[in-house]
Amino acid sequence: MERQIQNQHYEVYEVFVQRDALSHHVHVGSVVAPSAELALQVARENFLRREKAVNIWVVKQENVHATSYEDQDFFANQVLSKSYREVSGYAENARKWKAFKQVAITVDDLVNDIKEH
Amino acid sequence: MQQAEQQRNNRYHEALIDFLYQMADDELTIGHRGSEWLGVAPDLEEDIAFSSISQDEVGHATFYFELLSELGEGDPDQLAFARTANQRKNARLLERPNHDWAYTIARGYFYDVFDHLRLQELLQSNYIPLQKGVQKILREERYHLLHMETWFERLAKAQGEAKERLEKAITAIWTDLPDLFSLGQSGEILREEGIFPISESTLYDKWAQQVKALFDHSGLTWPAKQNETLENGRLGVHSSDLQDLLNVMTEVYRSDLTATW
Repeated sequence: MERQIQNQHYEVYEVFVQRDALSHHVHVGSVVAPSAELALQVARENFLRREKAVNIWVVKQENVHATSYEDQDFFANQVLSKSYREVSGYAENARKWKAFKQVAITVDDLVNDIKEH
Repeated sequence: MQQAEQQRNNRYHEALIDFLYQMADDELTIGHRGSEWLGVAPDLEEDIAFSSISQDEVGHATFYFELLSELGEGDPDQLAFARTANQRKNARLLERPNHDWAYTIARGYFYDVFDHLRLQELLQSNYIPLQKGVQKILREERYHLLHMETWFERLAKAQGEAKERLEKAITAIWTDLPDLFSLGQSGEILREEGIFPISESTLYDKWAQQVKALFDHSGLTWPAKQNETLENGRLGVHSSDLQDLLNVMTEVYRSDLTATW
C-alpha cells in the first residue's frame, strides 16, 4: 500500500553532474523525487555535499532510451578484423617509411628518372 | 566626553551581543530540530538533503557563536551547550517539536523567509565581521529557502491529507509567530547604531508580503495577524519544549564536561 502511494508521487530521475565548464555532464547515479525541481534540489544535497560542480542535469528515467543487453549482435563490431580502424593497425608504418627513405639513390636511378620525364 | 563615548560603545556592544545570540540560538535550535529527521524523513533522498541543510544551519550557528567568542563571550561550545534555557534567545517557534512533515516544512518555510530577509538587511550592517559572514551564509540560505518553498507549495497544492495537515500546521504555527519578529530588548538600539537597519514591523510586513503571495498562489487562506504575547523567546522566556530539546542536544556534552570532542 505504502509502496503504491509512493509510486503515484515519486519518479526516478537520473543525475548528471558537470564538474567544470569544460567537462561533459557525467552520470553519477539516480534519485527518487516527486518533481524535477525537487530532484535537482536533492541531487545537489546527495551528490554535491563536498565536491565542486557547475551544473546538474536530471532526466526522468523513463525518458532514457536504451539498447538491450540480450541483443549482443548490436555490439558485434569485432567479428571481422577491424585493425584498419585502430592505431595499432598502423604500428608498422614508421618502420616501413624509414626503410623506404633509406634506400640509396644510385646514378642509374637519376638517369632513369630524367629519361622518364 | 570620554565617558559619553564609553557609554555609547557599551550600548553598541551590548545590543550587538544580544542580537548575535538571537541569530545563533535561532540557527542552532532549528538545526537541531531538523537533525531529528535523520533516518525518518519521507524518502531516502530527502533524508540526506534535509540533514545536509540542518548541518548547514548548525554551521551558521557556529559562525555566530565564534563572533560572540571574539567579542569576549567565551568558548563557542560552551555558548552552544552549557547555557540554560532562560539564557537562550531563539524564537519560541523554533524550539517546538517537529510534529509531522507538514509542520516541519511550514515552520521551515516561514523561518527561512524570515531569516533570508534578516540576512539581506545585514548586508547593510556596520559591523563588518557579521556583514562579511552574512554574504557567504546568504549563498547557502537561498537554497534552504528554495527547498522549503518547493515543498510547501507542493503540499498545499496536493489537496487531501497533505493540505489538511499543512493547514493544521499553519494554525498551530501562527500562535507562535510573534516573537520571531521581535528584536528583544535591543531593537531600537540596533537600528540607531546601524547594526541592523530595519524595524520589527517593517520586517514583519516584508515577510507577510512574501509569504502571502505563496498562500494566494497555492490556494491557502491567510490567517488573521496574531497579537503579540508576553512570552518572548528573545527575552529568554521559553516553553518546556526548549528544555526537552536541550536535554537531548546536550546529553553527550554533559556526560564529560572536560572532554575535547
